[in-house]
Amino acid sequence: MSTRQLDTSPITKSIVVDCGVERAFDVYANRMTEWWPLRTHSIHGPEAERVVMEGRDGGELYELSAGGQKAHWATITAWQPPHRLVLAWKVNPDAPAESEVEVRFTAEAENRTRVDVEHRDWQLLGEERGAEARSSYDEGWGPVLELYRAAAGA
Amino acid sequence: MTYAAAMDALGDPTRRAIFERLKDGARAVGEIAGELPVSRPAVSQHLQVMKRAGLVRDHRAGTRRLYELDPQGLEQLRGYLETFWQAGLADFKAAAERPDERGTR
Repeated sequence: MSTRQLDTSPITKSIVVDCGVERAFDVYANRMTEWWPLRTHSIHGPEAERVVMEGRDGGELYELSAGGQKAHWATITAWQPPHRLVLAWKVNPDAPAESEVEVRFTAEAENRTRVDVEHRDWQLLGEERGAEARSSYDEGWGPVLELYRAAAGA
Repeated sequence: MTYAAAMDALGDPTRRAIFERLKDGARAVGEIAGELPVSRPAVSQHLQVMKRAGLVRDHRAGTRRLYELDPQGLEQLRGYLETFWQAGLADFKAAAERPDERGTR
């Protein structure tokens, strides 16, 4: 089940999207419902309806079910459009601590933006649990960011 | 392991074209052949391969034999792909399965 080596180092993922930095940030932060795989990657599953990002420091990122139930994902700790976004990530209320997600947007050309995602602080969850969570997110971020790339470039 | 046979079968572009033409419902061999640059016997042969792979099924309708997508086979294929799709779900899943998630606190 778990590997012998407990890796709690940051996960880093970089992708390039075919749009300007303003749009890259806007699609990522304000239009998550359009690309996040809610049906599979949410707390309400098939009943999850949308993702809400309150765009300000201290704002909340959460999902809303069709029945209007709210489920917390993260607290926004840095809201710096269109360059940077930092989240205190805690989808599972039982998790002993938050992990941190930082997303940076760097313009490479008029219609080309590099997006770097770093998900870190796994050690705060405890060595074993942190390593397990890290491995799960390491697998998960790739496909999720591919969906974002498609939405941003559309 | 049906998904493996299904994926092998779909590795052929002509079979993919036939597969996509069945999306909207059952068709006869002749109809499919009429839309593709492939002979009727060739379409028949491809359909046999796809049938063995669990992608399509057939039934008689009067004098005609109609082919349609096989929901069971597609479900297996979907299930296989979903195992990748759900990667990274652990955290959401744990939160969703908490005993008090849907009730009041």
